Amino acid sequence: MHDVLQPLTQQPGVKQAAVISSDGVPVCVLERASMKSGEFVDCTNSSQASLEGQRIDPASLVALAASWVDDVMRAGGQIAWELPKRFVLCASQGTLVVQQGPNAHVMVVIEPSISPEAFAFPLEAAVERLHRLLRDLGRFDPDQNAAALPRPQHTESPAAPSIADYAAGGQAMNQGDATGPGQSGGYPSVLPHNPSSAPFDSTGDH
Amino acid sequence: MRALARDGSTSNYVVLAKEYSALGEPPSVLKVCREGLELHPESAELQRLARRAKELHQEQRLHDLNLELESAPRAALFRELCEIQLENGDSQHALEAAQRWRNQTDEPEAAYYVAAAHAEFFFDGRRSRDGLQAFQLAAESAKHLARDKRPLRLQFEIARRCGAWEDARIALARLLELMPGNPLLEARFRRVLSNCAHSKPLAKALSEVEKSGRFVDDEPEEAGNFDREALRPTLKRLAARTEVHVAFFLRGNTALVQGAHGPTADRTARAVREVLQASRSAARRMALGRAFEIRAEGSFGALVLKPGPLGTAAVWTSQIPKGEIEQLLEQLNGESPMESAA
Repeated sequence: MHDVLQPLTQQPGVKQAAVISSDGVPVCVLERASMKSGEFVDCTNSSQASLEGQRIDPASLVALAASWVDDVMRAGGQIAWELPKRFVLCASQGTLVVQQGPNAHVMVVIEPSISPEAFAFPLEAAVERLHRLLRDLGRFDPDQNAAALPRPQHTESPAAPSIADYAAGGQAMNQGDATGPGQSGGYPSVLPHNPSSAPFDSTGDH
Repeated sequence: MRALARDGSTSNYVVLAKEYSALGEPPSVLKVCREGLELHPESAELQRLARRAKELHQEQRLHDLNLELESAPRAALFRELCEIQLENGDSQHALEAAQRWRNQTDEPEAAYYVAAAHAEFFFDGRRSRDGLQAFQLAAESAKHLARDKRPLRLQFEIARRCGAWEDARIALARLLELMPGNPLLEARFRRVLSNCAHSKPLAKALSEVEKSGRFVDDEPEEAGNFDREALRPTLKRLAARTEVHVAFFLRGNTALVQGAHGPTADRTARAVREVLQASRSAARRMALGRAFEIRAEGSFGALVLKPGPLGTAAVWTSQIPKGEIEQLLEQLNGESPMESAA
């Protein structure tokens, strides 16, 4: 999962990059250790603000980001038939940019002085890497849009689960589940809340 | 310099300041500009040069301070670093420096600067946790710095702005002990005392500020409290653009909509208000500060909201808005002056 986020952390002005499930569970969170050093640390399982100058713990931040995306999608559903895929919240102390992926979001928090436009392409590329990763693990079927993102294992270790862990989890899941990708109804671990399936309230007069 | 001795005009001060800037001496530029501004306070050019010189001087000083702190960290350097960064509005760097200072020495003054940085975050973003942290750290440093007025001033300012009048009174009473007979403080104390009857507990007052996004002394954003006729031409120009589906202006409970009618206008305006409220609250809770632009983009086009001093301008377009649309949005929300209707 680090490979999905690594190129984003190379961009100037990034404070945090994360992959989160659409219901706000952090899958992988990388956070800049301090303003001075450009080094990123894995905070996926960190439940308190421990870094220098950090004012909110990563778990709360990603949960709030997912909740905001959910709110905007719900309200956006009243305006148009299609739902938004990219969300930008520019504020005085930072900018949040979220790109929707396969049942997950890729998000970055950037410095307020940096234009969010510069992140349109890197975020799309990160979502594409996420697609590819899930495809390689046999978890993604674009026709069904139902690939569930693997959840992190809650262990004592502070490090994020590696790609190998995900691969192992994918095999275990496929063994228990007879249907593979491309077949209908074969995704028992689909997250319960899928905003893209929310009913529209639009009258279609636009 | 001789020309300036003969004639102390603005242009001669500007020439001398520019000569010093060419020599790479920002402190001298600043000195000349200050002297010139005493005689010609209205000079825009001298003001600009003074601002630029101050920025350059501070940049250089920050660089030197950071280098010196790496080799010989001490309180005076940390204090100056935090002061400069807070003065520049760079609260994030100030917080990091103050936390580094606090971790290294555990001095009560370091706690004050951590509190001051959190207070700046609170005044800007209205996040209750920042306000509470700032108040508690200021109280902690006030306990150790018995003769220092700064932590008490900070406590007073936080409590006053969120309407925790009892806490404001306590901080002010202690300030009066340090500055007995100060007429300004005494007048403030009487005013605060009269408000104590409807004081709220600090935690409740802070969470109310976070919820509403408004301090007690902020102007209320009431419905209909704006000139609709002045806004309508700009809103019509915005809606007339081919890529614009609907244009909105929201303030309080009132919404002006162009490009949609009847129930559709109501429904879309309600949706835009929901996006605005959710985004403002989310920005505060995520410690991102005050939201000033919200975008949702997809195959349906883009929904862009720009909250500003007058209200929120919003637009639903088929493409990501740029150029004139952005200018019109900024005119509507009061961030740039309104053009006269052509």
